[in-house]
Amino acid sequence: MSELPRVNVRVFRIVASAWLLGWFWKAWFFVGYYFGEIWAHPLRYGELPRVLVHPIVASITWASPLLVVIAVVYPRAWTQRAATWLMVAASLVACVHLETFSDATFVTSFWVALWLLWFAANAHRTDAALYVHARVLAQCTVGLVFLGGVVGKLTAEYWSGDAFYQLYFMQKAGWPYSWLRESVAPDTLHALATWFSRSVIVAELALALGPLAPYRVVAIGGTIAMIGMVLISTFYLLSVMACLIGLLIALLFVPADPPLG
Amino acid sequence: MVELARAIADLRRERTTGTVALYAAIGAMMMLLASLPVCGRVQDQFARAHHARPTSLASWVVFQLAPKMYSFEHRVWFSREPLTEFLVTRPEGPGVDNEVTSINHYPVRAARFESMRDEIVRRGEDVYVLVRSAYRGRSWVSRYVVRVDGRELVLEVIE
Repeated sequence: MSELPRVNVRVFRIVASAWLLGWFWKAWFFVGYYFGEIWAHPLRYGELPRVLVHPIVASITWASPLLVVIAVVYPRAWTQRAATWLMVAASLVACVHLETFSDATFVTSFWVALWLLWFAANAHRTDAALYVHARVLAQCTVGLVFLGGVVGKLTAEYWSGDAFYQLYFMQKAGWPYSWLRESVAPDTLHALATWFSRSVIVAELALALGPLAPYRVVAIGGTIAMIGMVLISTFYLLSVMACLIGLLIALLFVPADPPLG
Repeated sequence: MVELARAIADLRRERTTGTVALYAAIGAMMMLLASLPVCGRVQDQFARAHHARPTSLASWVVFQLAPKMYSFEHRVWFSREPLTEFLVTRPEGPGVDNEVTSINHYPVRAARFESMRDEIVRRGEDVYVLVRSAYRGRSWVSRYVVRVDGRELVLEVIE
């Protein structure tokens, strides 16, 4: 039996499992890429230090979080701390290595890993302050991610819909975009892209303002919004969203509105 | 708002180092992001991160940790001949055989040729890549060449 409070073990397991789900969601591609292609044909790039270009760093960084499973199965204080340090380190390196830097999965993984590192360091506590900060920090983490998204779209290319018109309505292969291209006139398609783009901006702004809203509203509304984004974009996007969804859902199970000491 | 107020009240009462540090890290990154629409220097650094051309290792780390999904507009051109911004933005287009695509973020990843490296190495020809990013009326252009060296690919920035 774990010596840690059951409620904290449950939170750790939900967040860590969701984090692992996102991290390995695209494993079918990454196994071949990180253990095959980048070794068969390595890249050289002088703008970054050699260690951040070498394939062995990318392979180890991507595969090492498998060890986090130990902490999920055996939730002891030391396994949780070791696992969360590993999650922070792996996601940090993945954000800056040439072969991994472009996947937003590793950015959301880093911020959620930082939250989990903080939670694991306090995993023995059950006081009201822990759960208040756990929830607010989770809201801030999710808010941070979507603040990044919304400020990057505060530009004419997104407000007019041009960027999403190219990215989704012209280039995306799957349904409904291929069907729309065949069924709708170009002008109507562009108008759709404009409203689609503006809706995304408004939704991201709402999620960015999440820290100001009640926790349950953010947890339930945010989860629904993120699942919606996965459905209208691509199932690969779950790799980015899974850890955020897990974080929000896990904290629905901690004592609500406890009085502070 | 109530929970945030409770959290702030508790921080005033008792400051735990780890808790303060996490709030500070998130707060600092939020301030950096909030400055993006109005600060040209921050925009430059974000563009450099999107183009994998950092000014320093420290700036690379900081700006890589900044969430920026679907930020800026990015277009990427590929050609067997060198390209310039003038060629790709003039109304009649580059005038050389090329491919063009839009990318949601980190456009220089297109020059890594994921799942295509075998083909690039077998072909043995240099590939020129031009990346153009736009944000709030400004644009940033980076030009790269991908050379084949044995079984390796050498990605170089063309200054």
